[in-house]
Amino acid sequence: MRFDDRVAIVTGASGLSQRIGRALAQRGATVFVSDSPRSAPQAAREIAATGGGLLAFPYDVADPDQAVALAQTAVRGFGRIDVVVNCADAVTEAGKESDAGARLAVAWQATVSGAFNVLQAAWPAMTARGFGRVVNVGARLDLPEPQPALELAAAVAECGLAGMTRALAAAGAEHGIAVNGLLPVFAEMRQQAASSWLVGATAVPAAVWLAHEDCPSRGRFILAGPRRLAEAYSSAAAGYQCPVPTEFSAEHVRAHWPTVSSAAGSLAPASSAEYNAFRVAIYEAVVTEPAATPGAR
Amino acid sequence: MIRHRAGQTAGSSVPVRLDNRVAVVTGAGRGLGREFALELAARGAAVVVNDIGVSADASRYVPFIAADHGEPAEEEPATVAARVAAEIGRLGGSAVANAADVAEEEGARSIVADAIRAFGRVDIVVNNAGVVITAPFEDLTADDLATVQAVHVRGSFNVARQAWPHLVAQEYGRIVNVCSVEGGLIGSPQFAAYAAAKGGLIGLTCALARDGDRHGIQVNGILPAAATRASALSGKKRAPHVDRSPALVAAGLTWLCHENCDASGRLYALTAGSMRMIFNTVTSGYVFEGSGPVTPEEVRDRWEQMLRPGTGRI
Repeated sequence: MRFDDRVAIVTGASGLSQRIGRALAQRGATVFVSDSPRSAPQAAREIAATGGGLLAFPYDVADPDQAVALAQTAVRGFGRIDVVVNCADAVTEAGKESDAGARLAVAWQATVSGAFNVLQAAWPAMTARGFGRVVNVGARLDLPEPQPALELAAAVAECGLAGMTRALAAAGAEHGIAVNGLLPVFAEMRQQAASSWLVGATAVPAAVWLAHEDCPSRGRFILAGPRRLAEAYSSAAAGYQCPVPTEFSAEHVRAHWPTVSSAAGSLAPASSAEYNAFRVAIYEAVVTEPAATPGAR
Repeated sequence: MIRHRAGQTAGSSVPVRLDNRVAVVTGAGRGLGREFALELAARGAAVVVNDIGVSADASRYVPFIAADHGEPAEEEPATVAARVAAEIGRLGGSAVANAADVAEEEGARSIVADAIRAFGRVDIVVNNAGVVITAPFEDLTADDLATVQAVHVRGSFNVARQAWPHLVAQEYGRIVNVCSVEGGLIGSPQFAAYAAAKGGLIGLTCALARDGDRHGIQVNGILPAAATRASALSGKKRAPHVDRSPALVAAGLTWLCHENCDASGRLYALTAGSMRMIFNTVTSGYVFEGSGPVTPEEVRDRWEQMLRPGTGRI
């Protein structure tokens, strides 16, 4: 699997981001590793030690101007951007603050704002060539088990990144830009150093594949455990439709609670249109009276 | 006393009541928030109707199209909340108005303080305040993202945080966050910032549900779809025969606010007299044998096996 002539931006200060960057470089890509000014010197030293193909820059992409500067550096030097891997670690970022509100802010800033800024800066270069691969590492669909309880600030940021991933997957479709989420999972890994090989055992090769032109997936959320890869996805259940919508009441909800809370008849929609068709079909099957449509448009 | 549990009361004619409960509804001056406030009040709850109205800083808070309720486009900020509170009063309910900004910590503090001052407690928090900013990705700005985050995410966090000690102290609380299918189930091209914020709100919902579990605090998300000023901004095509009145989604919210509802950490889509779960699933996936490094080529070769059946999303 080769990335010759491809230019990639990999953000984030974690060991995981370094390893993804290195893996892409080893397969022929020119890789820009962005890091915060604080940790960039060390990252640059590490990367210099590994040799060519990796270029480290002390840009903090949580700042939109620095994200633009990073993208401009790549475009000026190599004329293109093909791959963006957003790899900020919300848990580490949140850990820099003690107040709950501040934790929320820094985790969001690093994870969601950072990805937003870099992608926006890189978007014109990708749409111009009609090609792009985006991997949002940390994008989380919140799930009951077996994932561990995550602290609030990181949960908000990671789920925010997932929300943005969905919208950008749709926005990128017409431009040949595939946007996916990738989440390293399992409780025990959080306890170990971020550079533990376990964290990236499947996450690194999965990120490389998601960055490749042959990968057909878009809008997916991949979970990467120590040896397991899986997909997380969201579904809408058939649920309960009141036959006379104008009479729908809390008493109906209570009476039909098993149906309301059943996962039966579910659909994992691939698009907005598919979801709308799903619920309109249920409406039409159940609601016999033609609706007086005061609110319809 | 034997409590009616959900599912055992099918056909029961006992009305769902919220008497002696105190609810806070943010963004309740118009649209869905107003419906929520009216409905909770009609069920007996005393309500703090919060809304900043059309912001003085309308360049940051989208100037809404006041079409759905025939409202004048320009109003003094404080009056929208006051009007809904007065409406509740005329209908025989209890309500006070609050015009604070949920995005400010002080604003959130004042909302909960008003509940305590006027009604002596708070039981129910409905985080409904929001702004809709949609544009092609390249036209959105970092400020747009900051704005939606400030209102949807930080605003909901702020109000929940202010109410939390009261809910913990009384070992009872119901929080409902108004999330969205945008970012929560589907993606649409113009919603990058909005979907990020609503996705974040889902994360907040699940995290608060976990934290609230041992305190009798239940936290759920609703994903409503209705014809409002906000939805008009999305410019989407709708099935013309489906009744999308805002009033048709309030029933689901009411039950989630009731003491006999056992749901927590769940998401429900509400529209046109329907209520359905939105939930996440993980495939059994693919386990790589051995202990050596997994290569990208191996990942590629096992990719389809690992994904869920069906190719709809590829």
